[in-house]
Formats: sequence, C-alpha cells, structure tokens
Amino acid sequence: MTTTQIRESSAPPRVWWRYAVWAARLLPVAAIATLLPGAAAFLAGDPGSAFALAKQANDALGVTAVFTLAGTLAVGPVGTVTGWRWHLILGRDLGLWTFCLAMLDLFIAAVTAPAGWLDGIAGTAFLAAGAAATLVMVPLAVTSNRLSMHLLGGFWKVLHKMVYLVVGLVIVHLVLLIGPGALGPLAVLFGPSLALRVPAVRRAVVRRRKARNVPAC
Amino acid sequence: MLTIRARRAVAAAFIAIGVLLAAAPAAVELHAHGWDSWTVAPPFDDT
Repeated sequence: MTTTQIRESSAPPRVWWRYAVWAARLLPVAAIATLLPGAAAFLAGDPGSAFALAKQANDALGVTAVFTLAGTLAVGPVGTVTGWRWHLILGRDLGLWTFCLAMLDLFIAAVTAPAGWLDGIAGTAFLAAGAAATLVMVPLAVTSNRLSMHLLGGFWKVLHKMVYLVVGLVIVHLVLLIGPGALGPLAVLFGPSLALRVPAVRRAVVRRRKARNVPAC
Repeated sequence: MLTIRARRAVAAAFIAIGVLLAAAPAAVELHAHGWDSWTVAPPFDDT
C-alpha cells in the first residue's frame, strides 16, 4: 500500500462521517445523563430512590456498556471487511467508555445495596460475574494509551486479549440475569465480530476483498 | 527501553492483577456467607 493510499484510507470518506464518528464517541454521555435525576433523588435521601437508581443504572449503564463493548470488538473486523483504518481510534474510545460505564454501574450497585457494598457487587452469581467483567477491564483501561503500547511492545496485544474474558463474563452475567433467551441477541451482537477474528476467516475475507479490488475509502 | 523479559513480566503482572481483581469480590462474598447464600435470582425481580 502506498503512502497516499494509507493517507486516503485513514481519513473519513465523507464529511458527515466525521460528525457520525464524533457522535459515536460522545453517545455514551447520554446514558450517564439519564441517571442524573435518580442520582439527585438518592443523594437527597428520598425513600425508595436507592432501588430506583440501582435499576436505572442497570438499564441505562449496563445496556450501554454491552453495546459499547460490542462496538469495541467490531472495530477490528470492520477494518478487515472494508479496509478502513481511519475508524480504529473508536476501538480505544469505545473500550474506555465500556470501562467507565461498567465502573459507574458497579459503583452505583455498591452504594445503593441495602445489605452493604459487597452484597451489591457480588451478592448473587450474576452480580459477581458483572463485577468480575468490570474489574478485569482495569488493566486494559490503564494500558489503553500509546506509552503502554510502546513499553509493552508485542505483549500489549497479548494483554488486551483479556477482552475475550470480559465478553465471556458479560455473557455469563446476562444469561444469569435474563435467562437463556439472552443468548440470541448476544450472538447477533458479538458473533460476527468474534467470527471475523478467527485467523482463517479473517485471511479469507481479506483475500476476497483484495481479489475484488475494492478501493479503501 | 524495557527488555523482552521485562515486558513479558509487566504484561503477566497486569494479567494477574486483572484476574485477581475480578475474582476478589466473589471470593470474599463466598468466604463470608458461603455457597448457600449465593442465589442466582436477579435483585430486580418484583414478582
């Protein structure tokens, strides 16, 4: 690939794409914003507000974190299919959003639990799986920067393969919470991204794209 | 610049920290209350 081609493939193809990318980077703020009234009621000591806030956090933060995690995993495969490079920054952004949303969800679960913080984050099997998925992301979030990539070299990728452990724990968390019915939507969310990460599948897709000579945009 | 061995050690340390952090809440909860208290019922089940 020539320098010009790399430069072209690194730039968003249309101006509106640039705005779409910025919107995608900022969208998780909306999930946090929806919690503000509930958080204010909880801080004011309104009766019943702790339960309401915990449920709201589960709905808004938990669901958004699952979607941002799916987005994080999709960034690489989208590059495999399209040849794009310019969108790769979204991988780090969405990954950090996943961590922030999950940590906030965990914090709210801890402070609103009537039987103590430990019961709030690990009182049941599904809570423990969610807490584990969140806390296993700590080293990933800490090393999501250029300095860590530089210092760890090739081992950075090995470390960040822990995201598959996160996905596994999230699946356990949601299946215990919702039931086996959660497996279908989860397969739709994570299946294509995980399938395209299988080296043989990835190679076949790249070979096919190059054979069709689809220009990167 | 870190040597390969140092990089591997740092990466392994990060992985160990992640796994320990993930396992800690469940381990402490189970140690404190035992398996019997560990239900799989979701806390938002109003029924």
